[in-house]
Amino acid sequence: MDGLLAIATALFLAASAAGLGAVILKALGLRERLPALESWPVSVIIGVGALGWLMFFPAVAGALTRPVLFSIAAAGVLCLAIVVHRHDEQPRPPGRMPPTISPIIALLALLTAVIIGFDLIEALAPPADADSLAYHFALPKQYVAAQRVTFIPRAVDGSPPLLLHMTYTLALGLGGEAAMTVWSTMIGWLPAWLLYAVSRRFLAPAWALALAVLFLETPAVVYSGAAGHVEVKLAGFALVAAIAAADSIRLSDARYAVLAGLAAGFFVAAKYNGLIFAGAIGLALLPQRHWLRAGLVYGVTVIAVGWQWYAWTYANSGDPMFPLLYGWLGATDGFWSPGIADYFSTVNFGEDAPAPHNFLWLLAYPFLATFDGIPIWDSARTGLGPFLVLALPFAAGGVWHRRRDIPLHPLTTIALIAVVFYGAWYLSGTSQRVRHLVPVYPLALLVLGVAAARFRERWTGASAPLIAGIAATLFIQFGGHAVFARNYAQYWASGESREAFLLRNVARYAPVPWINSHLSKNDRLLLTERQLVYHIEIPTYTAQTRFQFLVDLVPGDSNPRRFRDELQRLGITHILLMPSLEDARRGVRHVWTDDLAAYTAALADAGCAHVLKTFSTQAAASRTVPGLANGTVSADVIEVSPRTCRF
Amino acid sequence: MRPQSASTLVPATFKVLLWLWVLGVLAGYLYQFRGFVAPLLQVMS
Repeated sequence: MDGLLAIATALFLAASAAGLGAVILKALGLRERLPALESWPVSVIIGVGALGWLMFFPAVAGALTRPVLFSIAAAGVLCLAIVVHRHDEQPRPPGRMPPTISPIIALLALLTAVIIGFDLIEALAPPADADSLAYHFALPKQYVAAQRVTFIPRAVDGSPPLLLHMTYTLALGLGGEAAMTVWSTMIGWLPAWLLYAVSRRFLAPAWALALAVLFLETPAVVYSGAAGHVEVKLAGFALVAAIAAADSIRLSDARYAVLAGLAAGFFVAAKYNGLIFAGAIGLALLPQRHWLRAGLVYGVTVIAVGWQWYAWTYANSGDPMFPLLYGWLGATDGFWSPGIADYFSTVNFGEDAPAPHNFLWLLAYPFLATFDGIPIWDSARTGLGPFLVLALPFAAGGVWHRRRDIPLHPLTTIALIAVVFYGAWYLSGTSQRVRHLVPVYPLALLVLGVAAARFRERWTGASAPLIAGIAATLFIQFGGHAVFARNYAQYWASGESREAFLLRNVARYAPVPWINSHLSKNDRLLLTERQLVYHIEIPTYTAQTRFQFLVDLVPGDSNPRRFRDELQRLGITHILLMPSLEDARRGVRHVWTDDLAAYTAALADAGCAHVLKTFSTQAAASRTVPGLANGTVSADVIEVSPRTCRF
Repeated sequence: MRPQSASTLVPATFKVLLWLWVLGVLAGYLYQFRGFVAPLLQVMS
């Protein structure tokens, strides 16, 4: 029953997004101009952005009440009713004949239905993805409880650009946890829908559907599409923006530049990488006669759409991208310091971007990430799969065959956008995890897929190896998805309890049930394992060494007295420490907790803290294959007791 | 045995190279999961 309610809420929001997007396209005069197949997916994608954009205002005003949330969603549904009603009154243009259902199309459609089923059984299970639990779903939960958005001065996951998280907040506030997870899953399907529709401009139905299914079955999409990760959802914005930019050039029509600006602006408002993407689109718009007009309307639209979370972050911290511009702008007192800034850039970027940022590695990265990437790239089990590399010689043949068309071809614009984004992303020195490329992945799929298909049309000798390659990729990736879905199928089939599922799937979960039953809303727990935040029902403070400075844990930077004062200032009443104090004293180490363990031990020795409960916690290296590795570490829940403190 | 003309030899060579590329990419891609097979089979059994 909960599942049906969740799906109904997500569909209600999808209808709302469709209505808002359709009205925006109508206002631009583009709704009837877009190819019929693209009109609805573009509407829904733009509408998702519009929902997130609208949510900003009640979120900062502290008005995230159910009536307000319902009114926002209902306004979109009303728009949909008006658009559909008016559309019915107009004479319909003769539609294209529906494609003949060949056995290949039937097979791909069946595969799509199974994929949707796999995603839904994951979406309806308790959320278990680490990043989602740390912030993608944890922040909306916090906002709904507080009825407002609250600034957290923590790098990376404290207060990122929140456009998509606002839509999660909307779903959570209206329909609860499952509505949020189903909604997050559902909007992850939109790029595949649009990829199919856009591919139909160039390809037969079976080829277009194959590209869409390749996208849905890509390991990075399987892994993060049904979770709270934003990259798969951003692929929708990226695809709309890229197609609109290409159409703006092709048709010399500034309205498409506005559409590109809307989609790129939504990307900017949902992830810092959106700034790189918006720059790539801006560059792609230049080679046209009315470049100044197109560039201006595009730029103004991007700013009008994308400003919200940068302004909010600036207002709260003095840095619109806290703490990335600390070297130039500084930050609100106490939020950051030169010491943590150095530590953050050295440790974080050193760990997340280990390969050199030079041209040679820029060229090598796609191949290494396909065959044998550096582990931190997450490019194997959660990578982009083999298709892009596999399609290269076929695509090269297609490009050579159609070389005279290339300068004016819309796919040239789209390829340029993807290449500029990739180059700027790689050379910028930001995180090299391959999933950050997912937003432009459908662009690459479209360009390489169409070029490869053209080569096959030109030379039948390429047909068999290309089709075999696509079929084998689909088979391998579907197998991977089936294995991934098995964990969730087991949850539903076995009647496993929520707690048992979470214990099995969330790293270091063991203390959470005890914390929820023994601590109260008046307590505040300091912890370092951020994936526990979502499921802990009392206020928490995530004190990861390199991401925050309100509790200074930079090695050699602090002392136990300062630590005690920081705990008091933040109202921390308890600490979840890994390893336990006893193990820490015996020399056991856990990631990033050496200083926290040392300060907590000093507090305990001075009578300022005592252990309430000790646990043994596990963390599987993979939720899908739990036998891969299983690290065990002890944990203490420690009560801070200032009254008996001898400091 | 008559020698094959260039007009049939070149496409045939290209075709073989394309097949080798496809099989090589797939094999290279799958090879990185070699350490994953045993625990995976354990889960599936």
